[in-house]
Amino acid sequence: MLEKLFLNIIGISLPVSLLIILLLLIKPLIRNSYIAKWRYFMWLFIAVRLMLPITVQLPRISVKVPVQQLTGEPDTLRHVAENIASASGQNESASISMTGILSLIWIAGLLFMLVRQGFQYWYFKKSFARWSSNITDSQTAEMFNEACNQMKVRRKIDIKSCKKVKTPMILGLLKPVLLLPDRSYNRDDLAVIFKHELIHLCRNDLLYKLLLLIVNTVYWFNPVIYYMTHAANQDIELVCDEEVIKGMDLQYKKHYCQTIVEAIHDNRSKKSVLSTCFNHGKESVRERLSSILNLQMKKKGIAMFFAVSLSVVAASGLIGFTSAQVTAEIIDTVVEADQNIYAPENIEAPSFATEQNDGNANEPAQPEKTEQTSREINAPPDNHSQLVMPASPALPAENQESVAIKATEPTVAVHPSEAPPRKESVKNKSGDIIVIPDSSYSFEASFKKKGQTASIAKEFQADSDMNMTISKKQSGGLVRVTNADTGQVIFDEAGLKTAGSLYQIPVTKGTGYKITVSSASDGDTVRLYIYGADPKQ
Amino acid sequence: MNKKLSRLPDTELEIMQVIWDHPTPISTSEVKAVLDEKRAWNIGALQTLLNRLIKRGFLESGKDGKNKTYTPLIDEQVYLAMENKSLLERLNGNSITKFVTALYNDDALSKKDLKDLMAFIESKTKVE
Repeated sequence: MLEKLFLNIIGISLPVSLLIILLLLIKPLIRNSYIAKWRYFMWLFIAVRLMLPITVQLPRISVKVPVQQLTGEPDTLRHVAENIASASGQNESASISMTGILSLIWIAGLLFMLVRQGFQYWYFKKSFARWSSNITDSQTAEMFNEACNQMKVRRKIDIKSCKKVKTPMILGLLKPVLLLPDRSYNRDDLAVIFKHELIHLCRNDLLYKLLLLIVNTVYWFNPVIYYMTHAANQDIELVCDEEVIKGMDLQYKKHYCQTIVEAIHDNRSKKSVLSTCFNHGKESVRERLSSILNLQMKKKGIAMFFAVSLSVVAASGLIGFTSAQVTAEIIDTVVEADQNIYAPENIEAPSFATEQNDGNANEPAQPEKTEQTSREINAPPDNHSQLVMPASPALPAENQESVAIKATEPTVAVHPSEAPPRKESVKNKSGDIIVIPDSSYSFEASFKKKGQTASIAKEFQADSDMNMTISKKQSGGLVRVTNADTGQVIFDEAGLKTAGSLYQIPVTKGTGYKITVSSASDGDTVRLYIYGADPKQ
Repeated sequence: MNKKLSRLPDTELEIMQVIWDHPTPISTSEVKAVLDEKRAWNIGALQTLLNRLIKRGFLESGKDGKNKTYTPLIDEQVYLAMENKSLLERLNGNSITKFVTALYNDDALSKKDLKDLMAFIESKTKVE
């Protein structure tokens, strides 16, 4: 569950990061404040998009596994299959526990950021509160009320003087307080300050900033998001500036610029030495000032066209990405809704036909339930150890109940994870036998509730005495292997909960083995790879 | 002054703010009168806190007839600067800008930069 969420976050993080980088790269090319408004909404759109995976995913417990796309010639497929087999044998266990570890790191970082930000907010609020006092100057309070009325702000906003703040600010989402630094302002200064702050309030910029903060907390590992947050914060200011000076003359703009510069605190601490070294702060202020002073001289023109076309491209990119996600989601839902048991769409499907012709013999000892639809073949002579498995890719309905799912759990979905394109499975519908030489047979079951059970729709049979290897990708769920004839339990994983476990179970020639998985906790997804041979050989 | 300044608890700071805001020396009853405007104070508790402030080196006590009076030893600006330079403040750095909408959001600039910016405004607006 956590891992899936983490993978989702990573999956969304990447394309969105590219988009953000693109947007940040073109930013200097179109330095125009008309663009600020466009970017303001662009960032908002991206921020909302970034938060969607969580809200969409959370209620759904069964989660999707990226379906590996295998296309190509049978030969290539075979290679791929072998690669997968050996990779899954040796590395899978390691890589899976790796995602486990990474997702734990991610959630730990998220919690750390959350606590840190919560603490910072609490700390500032508290330390501002103890240095704040009500405005004693009745004229200031009156002016502020007037400004509120003018801007049609109906909420009651406190105004306080605070010795701790260096620049005027509004703090608090639910109960906003305007904090004025402890210094004297003339009426004109106050008028601009109030206007600026109340515009922020009307535009709900604090809410926007909270969203950015949450995005930053969730994607704390992604440096691009930090750049985005920074850029978005700057654009919030630019858009606000634009609003303040709308329809005002140059004199007013000049005064507004001066008020901004006066609001910048000069700082004698060591930290500022560093920042003035790079002079980044100064440059960004200069940019802001020129955007205020130049606004009317620039025309929308080319930049606007550029912006619009780009927004279309960017938006379509994002939507495309969204729809891909939705599709995957839908596929999953269908799988689940059907309660369908897909037979393994084996990666080797195209190649077994030839093996069949090579001289195979049907084996008589077949389990009843698959008898009608399946035959079994022997392995080609060069393959000493392999499992032969009777299979019908799409089981007839009557088999479904008896084999795969204990019918009481309608929510269990079983489907192969590493499925090749679905066309392949259509070919096999006649109930052909799928031979799995050393490559893996993969299997996945998603459970909603703890204690649910699902069986693999077919039995495994070895053509010689050998080891059957079962590799489990996640730590959740329990695996059990039983003798299909006697019902005797050969292997029971209960108690072992190692992530990415690799089990070797000795099997005897000619005996059928049934593999069952069950969930150890709610929302478990069990993904297995089963090999005919010891993958280490 | 070699005694290290410590961060004052809220109540003690409240008392100090009254003393800073009024002409000193100031008597206990005068302090209480100002504090009582906000909420009622217990004279005993106030006395204890005042003594603690003396111990901390924030106040000096004297006598004006029968009344005990207090004079601040540490200037408000000095204390505020100390608090701003405290470890906690420095750890939290500029992070306040994440939670507020301010007229100016970024890092502090040097005096020279501010002068440059003012000149920049002038030059931009003069041409007109």
